[in-house]
Amino acid sequence: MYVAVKGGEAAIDAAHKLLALARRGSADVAELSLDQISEQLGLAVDRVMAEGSLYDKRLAALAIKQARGDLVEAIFLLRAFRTTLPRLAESEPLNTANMAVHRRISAAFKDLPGGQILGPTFDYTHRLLDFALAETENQPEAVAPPASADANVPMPHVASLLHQEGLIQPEAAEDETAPVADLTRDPLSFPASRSLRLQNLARGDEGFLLALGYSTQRGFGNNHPFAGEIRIGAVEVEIVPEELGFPIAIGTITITECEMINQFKGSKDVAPMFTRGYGLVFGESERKAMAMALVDRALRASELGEEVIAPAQDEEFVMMHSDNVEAMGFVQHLKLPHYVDFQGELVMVRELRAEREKSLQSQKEEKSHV
Amino acid sequence: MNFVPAPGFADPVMDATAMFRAVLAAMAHPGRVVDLPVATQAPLPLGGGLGALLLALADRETPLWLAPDMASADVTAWIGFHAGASVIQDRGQAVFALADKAEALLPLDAFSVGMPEYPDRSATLIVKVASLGEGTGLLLRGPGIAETARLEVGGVPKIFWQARDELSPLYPLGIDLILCAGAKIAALPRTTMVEI
Amino acid sequence: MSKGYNFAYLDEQTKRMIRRAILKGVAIPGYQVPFASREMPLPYGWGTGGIQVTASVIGPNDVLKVIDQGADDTTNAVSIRRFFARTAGVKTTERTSEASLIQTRHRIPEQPLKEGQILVYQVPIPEPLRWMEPRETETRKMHALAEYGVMHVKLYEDIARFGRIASSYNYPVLVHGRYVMAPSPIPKFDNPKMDRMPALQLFGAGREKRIYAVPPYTSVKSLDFEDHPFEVQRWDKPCELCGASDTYLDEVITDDQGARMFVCSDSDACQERQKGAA
Repeated sequence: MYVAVKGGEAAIDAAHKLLALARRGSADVAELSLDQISEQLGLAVDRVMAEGSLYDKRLAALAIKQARGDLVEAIFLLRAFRTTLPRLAESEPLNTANMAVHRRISAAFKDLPGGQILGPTFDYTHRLLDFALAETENQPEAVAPPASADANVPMPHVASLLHQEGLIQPEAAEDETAPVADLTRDPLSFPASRSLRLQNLARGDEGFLLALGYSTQRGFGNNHPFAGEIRIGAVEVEIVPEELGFPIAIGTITITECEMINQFKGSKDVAPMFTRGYGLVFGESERKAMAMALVDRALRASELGEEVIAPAQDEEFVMMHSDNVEAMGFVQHLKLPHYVDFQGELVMVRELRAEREKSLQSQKEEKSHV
Repeated sequence: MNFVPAPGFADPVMDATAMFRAVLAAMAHPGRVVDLPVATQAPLPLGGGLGALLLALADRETPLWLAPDMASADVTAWIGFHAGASVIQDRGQAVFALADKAEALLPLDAFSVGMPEYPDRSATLIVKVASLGEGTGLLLRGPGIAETARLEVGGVPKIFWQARDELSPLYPLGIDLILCAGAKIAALPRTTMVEI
Repeated sequence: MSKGYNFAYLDEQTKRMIRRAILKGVAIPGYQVPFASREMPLPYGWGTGGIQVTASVIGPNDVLKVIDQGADDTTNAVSIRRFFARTAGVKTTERTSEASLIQTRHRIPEQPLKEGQILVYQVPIPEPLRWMEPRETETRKMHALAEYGVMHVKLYEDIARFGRIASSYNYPVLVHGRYVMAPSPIPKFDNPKMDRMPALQLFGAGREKRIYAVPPYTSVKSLDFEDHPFEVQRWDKPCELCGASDTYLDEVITDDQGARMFVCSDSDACQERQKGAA
């Protein structure tokens, strides 16, 4: 007897049990702790926090463990947790000039106040597999922290140095009393403000932004970028409780900030000057911050009177497709049953073929009569 | 001023759910008189029924306009305490508007009727009436009504219905109306054609 | 019921926002109301819009039925039904007639719905004009002006090419004579059931962040042309389980020689008819 669609309930239970087993892997291998994940797979944790848009290393580590290392799935877990959290306060704007920096580089100037600090970068490693790491007895040498790790060392932004000379487009002063836009609380409509675009990009999929940023470099909306500055470090998050009326620090987070400086020859209404693209990401994620800055600049095309011709300049295209939780759900929903619709298509294709057959047949008969 | 606002919902989650279902039934069946499942002890002129409607629908995301006949200090304080909704002066920005008498809402076109791309960005007016009854009175037609319906609304002058009728050519722009008499409500969305 | 989460999972602030969108949807039949869709614990594309609508509507006295492809026992329907049994503790049923609230993906039950029932559709792409115009900024303008020329051109091109309108599901409808609306990917067989349905129809698209509605007794016309009137699918054979010849059938391949049988897609309607015959 026909039972194919039956037994869904039991099948789901069995699938969950199998998933738990597969997650644990061989019982002969020690189980991963959340501390191991957050300490030794820190960049994975950072990506999950950034795109999950929730700064909590322990929860991100848990999500990674639960998702068997599938970072997009982990991002989804964190988002679904985040969405029901109450909104208690809005933070003050982060003051990244006061960052306790552990990496800071500029490609635009050879030297600058505060200096260039390489920090813990992959950049000049030779990508040779290090077989020594295959052992678990590694104890790297201690290194003294750079002086910049002290937030009291002044380290002005490169863009602010250009700004003193009037060479770079000033950031439009947004109305500070206006409520902060939040696309998780208000549905998106277009045209979107720059702050909404930046929020969207900060939550956006790293791979998507990387490809879009790359496309601008290859001529699909080129904006002639220089990596004005990339800095990674810790900043304080402050809120102003209504009953106090002055800001208090509620914690410290690590972020990556990138300011691209883009050549701009001017337009009908705007004098030649440098323009900016901005990237800001939770944790250490230079690749994403840079890609975000490229895309942010590309999305400012219409504001600067440039023609919108490339995908990276197209606000609706970028913002509607950047979110990997939305994208993964819809792409993967194709595995849900569609047999009702497919049946409709089957019926139609058979009918269309039958009609075609009939008309071919009658054409043939007509010919033979001739 | 030192006072403790009168109680709102006894069970905020279930009361709000039941209230919403009552409003949904009223909005889906224009002209049908629906009993309110719960009440509040909101101060007059707001009163228990309007207070319950407000708590079910409004919050800090929905600017609220109070007609002069509704804007007492007690009412404003109660709304602020229980709903957190901000009371605004510009009725053109209101998501919800409350009035003790229908004529206090005139002129209706001072409220937002939405925009051609976003007709949902329009006001919902919630007003107290003297009585509500089915079977006689206004003749109603439109979505949600099988053929025709009749709704008797006490204490609303003809001029109000005329003003509402003048908005109908704007459809799909328009305003939506919830009428409340004691513990009964009826709704007239913008799609309902009313014959006096 | 699950501890640590609100009744029906969503927080009250979210429910109020969704409820306001639903009421505007009912007031403007067929118009897509934007709403601040939340990330649900189920993936986008798997019914998050329908779930958010159901979660905002459902009360403790509701009896919930969930179907996918017409059946109560398909895995995603089971998963969603469990979600509400767990988070709202409501009674669930597989009987269409017993349900006060029915969440569906891709079908309308065969048994006519009654006044007072609410049918919640899961919608993947709410914009009926999307395949002709990918930009929301453009399609919104078309709806604002009731400028539906592109849709008629598309349908007419079908006729020129195939001799008929070649859409078998998600077949566009005109609601209350004003808005062209996507009925969600139900087969066009189900379209006539929407017209002047006594039950309230609510549509939720989570990923696309839209809610829309068709109030009871509202005109829902499938788009067509005078010389090419709208028609529904028909099968040569009746259902092999219950014998019905007026229902939507699924084709089931029964062996590796391509043998197949046709059975009702609506499992409840099919079982009820089998019981009646026994």
